[in-house]
Amino acid sequence: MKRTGADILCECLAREGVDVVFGYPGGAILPTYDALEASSIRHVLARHEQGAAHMADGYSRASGRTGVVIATSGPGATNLVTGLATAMMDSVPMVAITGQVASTLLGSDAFQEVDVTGVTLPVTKHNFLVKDPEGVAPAIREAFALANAGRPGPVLVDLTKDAQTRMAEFDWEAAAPRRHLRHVPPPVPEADLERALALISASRRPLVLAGHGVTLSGAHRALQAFAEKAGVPVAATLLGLDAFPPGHPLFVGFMGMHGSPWTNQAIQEADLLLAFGMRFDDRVTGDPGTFAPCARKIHVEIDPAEVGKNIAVDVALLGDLREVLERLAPRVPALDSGEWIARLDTLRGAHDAPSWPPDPRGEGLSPTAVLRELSRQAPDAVWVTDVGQHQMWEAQVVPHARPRTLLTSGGLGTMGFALPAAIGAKLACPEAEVWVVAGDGGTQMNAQELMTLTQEGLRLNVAVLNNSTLGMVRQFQTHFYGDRRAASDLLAPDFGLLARAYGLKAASARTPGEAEAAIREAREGGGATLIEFVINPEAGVYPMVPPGAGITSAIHHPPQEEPCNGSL
Amino acid sequence: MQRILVALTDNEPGVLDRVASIFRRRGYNIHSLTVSPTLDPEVSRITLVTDLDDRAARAARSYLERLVNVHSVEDFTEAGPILRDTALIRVAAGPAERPGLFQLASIFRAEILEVGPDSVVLACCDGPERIRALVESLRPYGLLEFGRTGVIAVRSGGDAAASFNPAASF
Repeated sequence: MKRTGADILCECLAREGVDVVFGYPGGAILPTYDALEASSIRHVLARHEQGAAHMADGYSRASGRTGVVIATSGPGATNLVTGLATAMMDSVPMVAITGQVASTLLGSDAFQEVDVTGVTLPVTKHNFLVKDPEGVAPAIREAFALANAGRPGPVLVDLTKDAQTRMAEFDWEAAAPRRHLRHVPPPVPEADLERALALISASRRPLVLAGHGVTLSGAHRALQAFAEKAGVPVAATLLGLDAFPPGHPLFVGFMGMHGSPWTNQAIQEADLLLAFGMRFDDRVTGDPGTFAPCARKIHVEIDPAEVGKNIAVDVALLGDLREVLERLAPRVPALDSGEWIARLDTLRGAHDAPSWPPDPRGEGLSPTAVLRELSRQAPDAVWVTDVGQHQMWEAQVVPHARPRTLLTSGGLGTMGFALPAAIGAKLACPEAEVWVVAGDGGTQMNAQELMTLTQEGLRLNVAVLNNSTLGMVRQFQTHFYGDRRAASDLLAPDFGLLARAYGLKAASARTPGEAEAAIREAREGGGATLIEFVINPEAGVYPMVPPGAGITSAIHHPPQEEPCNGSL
Repeated sequence: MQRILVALTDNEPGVLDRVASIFRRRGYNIHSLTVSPTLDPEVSRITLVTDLDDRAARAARSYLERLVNVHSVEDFTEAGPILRDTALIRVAAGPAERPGLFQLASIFRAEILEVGPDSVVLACCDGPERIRALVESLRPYGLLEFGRTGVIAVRSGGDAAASFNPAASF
């Protein structure tokens, strides 16, 4: 029996296991919306396509299932670009479906026509232009397969309007994906494993650098088993902070630009780095010329293009991290690393951990104190952070005990990410307690999605750390631009009125007592409360490694202020 | 240094854009690019000449290999490949200049395609260095028009990789 392309699309989505999609309708995608309405798939209507894209991203990050976003042609599709780029940089599996003008109008500058496959080429893993209904099922099946094969990422399928309305035979089997395994590396050769094991066995000061790949390959248990058997301490990148239990004696901490000094010092003193599913981003390495001068390097990575890109390595194990760790763990010896672990304890002890980092000095509510209180009251929450100072404070302060409990835009640093991503996360994991942590700048970037939250009846809470400034920009200006504050002074709206206008409950806190009560009441109320924490506007994120400097040359306090704690 | 990269790709719309985009976004210039279907009509062969150091060449190759539409990429630079490039050249030449010009053409094994009242069109299929030499020899006559295909390459038979590598099999 023949069916329309739009019907075929919805049938494919259902067979791929899609239960919810995020999107915004418009002319060129209306046939698909018409078919969607008749299907069992839930559609979440965002208020802006960028929001819908971040929702699909958050859904994927929280659950590991492929997030799906739908938009119309032209402006609908171009509004997805930031969301696609965000997912691309952090290797998040996502499928975007866009309507396109009818195939007869392609290239004619028709109403709401944009070259979407052209515009999204650099921000997707792959994309498809489908001009006939026969092409719908093969493109959709391959899109899902590609989004998840090897290094995950977003894939876009652009469907002309006539591809959605015309009829074709639907043949699921014949549409099986063909090309998704083309660039997935073969199993890691035994000889490479032997070389890695030889380096590990000879090491006295080994250190694991755990990245997002741990979560993406589901390697948490394998990592813990490996680290415990070998006695190797574990440091984490921003997206690796939920990769290893934070209370574990082998956990060293957060590395990089705003990482803990002892973690960065450990990297510099290590004789072997085991880079697991991380890509030596410049925010992690600082000056690559001075990074880890004493260490041999083993890189376990699914994407061959990442090996040797930023940092030269001694052994590359190209493959799925979990498979590699499960092969390594039974054969890795227990290393004589006691002296090294004692050294790391000494380094850490000099910084008064676990109350590190010290609360910023000055007037007003301390942002780190607010985050400690949030974490104390909601220890099992999923934290969805935006981009800026609050994101770094959260990473420094809040422990993430379980996988997929820190969702944040690491690679692209997309302001406005947190609220929509949290909506996606809450829909993926309805039982989870979800908290948005955002600044006043990022909150205003996608504030319209508060209405989506209300329309969908979602019970998640929003913590806005309001310093009425673009704090991270201001901090850079303070340190590197003579404290000239160009365009960083941001007048904040009345967040209480804003929240209530969108149907949320609202609270505002200016003291630790008010903060404690507001968090408690929001949690007792079951969600959908926006709490504004009016924080010290001059508070900075320390330590801070200046961009391009070595990772142990951190700044520990604002200019003209005495060191407030033992600095390394 | 000048690099010769040979890629086998799907023969479908948009592939050239994806390949070129790898170079564009990193600010690498492409000197020449030839694309044509192989003996398998679903597969295209792209020969790309670019100027990259070792590190950038390795990176370009791995980014190309990451593209879904790319089957394989090989760097022919070190392999001493056999290269051919074709140039079509219109040279200003009246009856008086023809004998000297024809002699040059025969030295360079260039073909005379057209003889007009005051110009001659030559075709030369040879290695890029020989074409450059021919152009320099013709320059004094006056070059009116010049078109060039860009380099295509195959491995030399003495290269062990020629017997098994996928690019050689088409």
